Amino acid sequence: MITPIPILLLITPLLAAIVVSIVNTLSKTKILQKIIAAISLVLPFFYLSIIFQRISTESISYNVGGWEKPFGITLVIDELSFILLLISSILVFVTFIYSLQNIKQDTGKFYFFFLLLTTALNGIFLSGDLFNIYIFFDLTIISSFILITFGDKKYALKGSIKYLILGTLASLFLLLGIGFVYAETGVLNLEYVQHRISLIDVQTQIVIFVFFLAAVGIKAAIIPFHTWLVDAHSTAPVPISALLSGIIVKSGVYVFIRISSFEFSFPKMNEVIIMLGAITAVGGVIGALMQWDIKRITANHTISQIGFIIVGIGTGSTIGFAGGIYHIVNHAFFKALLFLCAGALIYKTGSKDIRDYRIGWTMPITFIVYVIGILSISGITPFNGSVSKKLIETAIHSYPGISIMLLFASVGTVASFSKILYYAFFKHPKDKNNGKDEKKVPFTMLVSMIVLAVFCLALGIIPQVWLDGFILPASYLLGGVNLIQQVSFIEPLSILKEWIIVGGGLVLLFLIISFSTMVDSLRTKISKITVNQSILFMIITLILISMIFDSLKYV
Amino acid sequence: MINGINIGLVLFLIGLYGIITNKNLIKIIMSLGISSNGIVLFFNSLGYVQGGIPPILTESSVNFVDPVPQALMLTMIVINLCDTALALAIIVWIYKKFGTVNIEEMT
Repeated sequence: MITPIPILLLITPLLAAIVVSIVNTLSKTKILQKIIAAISLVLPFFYLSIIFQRISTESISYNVGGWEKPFGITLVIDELSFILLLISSILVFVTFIYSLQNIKQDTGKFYFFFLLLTTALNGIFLSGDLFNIYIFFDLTIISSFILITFGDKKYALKGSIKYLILGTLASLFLLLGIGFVYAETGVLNLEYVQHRISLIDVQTQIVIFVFFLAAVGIKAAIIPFHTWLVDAHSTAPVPISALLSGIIVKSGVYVFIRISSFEFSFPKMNEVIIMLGAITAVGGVIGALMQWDIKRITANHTISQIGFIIVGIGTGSTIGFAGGIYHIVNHAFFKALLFLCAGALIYKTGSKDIRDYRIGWTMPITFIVYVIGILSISGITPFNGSVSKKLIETAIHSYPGISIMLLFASVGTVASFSKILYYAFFKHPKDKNNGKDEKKVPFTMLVSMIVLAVFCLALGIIPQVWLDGFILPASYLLGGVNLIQQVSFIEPLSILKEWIIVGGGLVLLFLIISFSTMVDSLRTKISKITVNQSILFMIITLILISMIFDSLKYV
Repeated sequence: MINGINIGLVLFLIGLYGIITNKNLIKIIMSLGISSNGIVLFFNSLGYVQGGIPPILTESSVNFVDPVPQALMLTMIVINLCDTALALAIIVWIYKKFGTVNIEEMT
C-alpha cells in the first residue's frame, strides 16, 4: 500500500531547517529555533510508530511524483532500513538534547545544518535507488563537514577539509560504479539491480564491486580508507562526534550491506570482505593504543568496531548479518555514550589529554555511565556488546585466523579503555584549586547520557526480544536462509573467556605504559602521513583487490 | 578507441593523479573538479545514440538519446558546485588561521 509516510520523514526535518534559518535571521531570541527543531525531531517517532504496526504485513514504499519504479524515484522502508531509521531518530534526538547546553554560539546556523544532516541520513536509509543514495551520501558529507567546523577551531578546519576531499572522492567513486551499473543493466532501482547484476560478465562485475568498495570504504572508514575519520571525529563538537561515530559512519555500512546483497557472481568476495574487516578491527585498536587524547582514542575505536561489523556482514550468512546489524545498533548507542561522557569530562576539566584529568570521585554519575559504556564496548556479558560479538564469533567459527584477530581487537579495546579509566578516575587525584573551577555538568547533558546507558543495558539484558522483533527479520531478508542456530547468550564458559580478555587487556596496558616513549615516537611518525599519501595507498589497495579477484575468477 | 566514455575515464584518472601529487589545497580542489567533469562526460556518453534525436516528446518516438544520464548529471553538477564552493570557503578560512594552503605546512 502506498502511504505518504516515507516522504514525511524527509520533508519534516528539511522544512524545519528552512524555518529555523528564517527565524534565525528575523529574531534575536534563541528559544524559538530550539522549539522548532525539537518538534521536528519528535515527529519522526510518531511516523515510525505507524510504520512499525504495518511493516510485518506489507512492504512500505512511496513513488515520488507518482512515477512507477524502475523509472521513478522510489522511497522504500524494509526491516533493515526501519532499524536504522529508528536508531538514527533516537540518536539525533539525544544528541540534540545534549547540544542545548554544549553549543553556545551560532545556534541558528548549527540547528540548520543539524536538521539538514537528519534529512540526509533519513534519505540514505529510505532511498530505493542508487542515484538517490549518491545524492544523500553527498548531502551528509556537506552538512557534517560544516558541523565539524563548529568544533575547536584550528584543528577542526584541518579535519574537515580532509573529510571533504576524501568524501567527495568517495562520491565520485560511487558515481563511477553507478555509471557502470547503468550502462550494463539499464536500471538504477536497487531491487532490479540486485537480480540483474549477475547477468553482467565477471570482469565488469569486479570493476563495479571495487568502485563501490572504494566509495563505502571511505564513508564507513574501512582500513585503508579510514584516514579522515580520526581527525574529523576528534575535532568536531562533542554532540557531532557522537552523531558521526554513531550513525553517519553506519550510513556507509548500510550502503555496504545493500551492495553486498547484490548477486555478484565472482568467487572469494566474502573472504576478501572478512579479511578487510579483521584488518580494520585490529588496526583501529592499534591506533587507539597509541593515543593520549580521549576523543582520538574513542574515534579510533569507531574504526575497530566497524571492523567487527564488516566481518559479520562479510560472512553472508543469516547469523553473520544478524550479528553485524545488532552490532550496528549496539555500537550506535555505546559509542555515542562514550563520546558524550568524554564531552562531559572535557567540559569539566577543559582538557582532552587523559593525563591531565585525575578527577577522582567528583563525577559519580558520569563515572557510572562511562563504566557502562566501557563494559558494553568490551563485550562483558550483561551488556549489549557481548550479544553481537557472540553472534559474530559464531558466524566466523570456520575461519580460526579471523577469530584470533578479533580476539586481539577485544583485548586491545579493554586495554585502551582501562587506560582512560585509570588516568581519569583511579589515579591519585589532583589537589583541588580551592573549589574555584567547580564546573557542574549541566542537567541536559547528564540526561542524554543516562538515556543512552539505559539503552545499552536494555539491549544487553533481553537480547532475544530485540533479535526476534527487529534483527532477525532483517537478516532473513539479506541472508536468504530462514535458519539460525540457537545461540545462548549466558553460559559460564564464555563469561570466563570475557574476563580472561579483560585480564589480557590489563597486561597489554601495562606493556604499553612501560614502552610509552617508543609508542609516542611511532605516533608522531604516523601523524606525518599526508592526504596525498593516504589516497595513493588507497588506490594501490584497490588495484591489488581487483587483481586478486581477477586472478581468482576462473578458479 | 576515442569516444566520450574513454575520455571521461581518462579525465577522471588525470584528476586522481592531480589529487595524489599536489600539496596545495586549491590545486587539490581543482583536481577534484577535473575528475568530476570526467564523470559528467562519462555519464553523458552512456546515453548517447549515434544520430539520435533530442529526447523531446515528438510524433516519432524512435531513436532518441537516453535522457536519464543527462538528468542525473544535472543533479550531480549542482551538488558538485556546492562541494567546491564550500571547500573554497573553508580554504579561505584555513589561510586566515594557518597562513598557508600547503597541507604539509599546516601544523
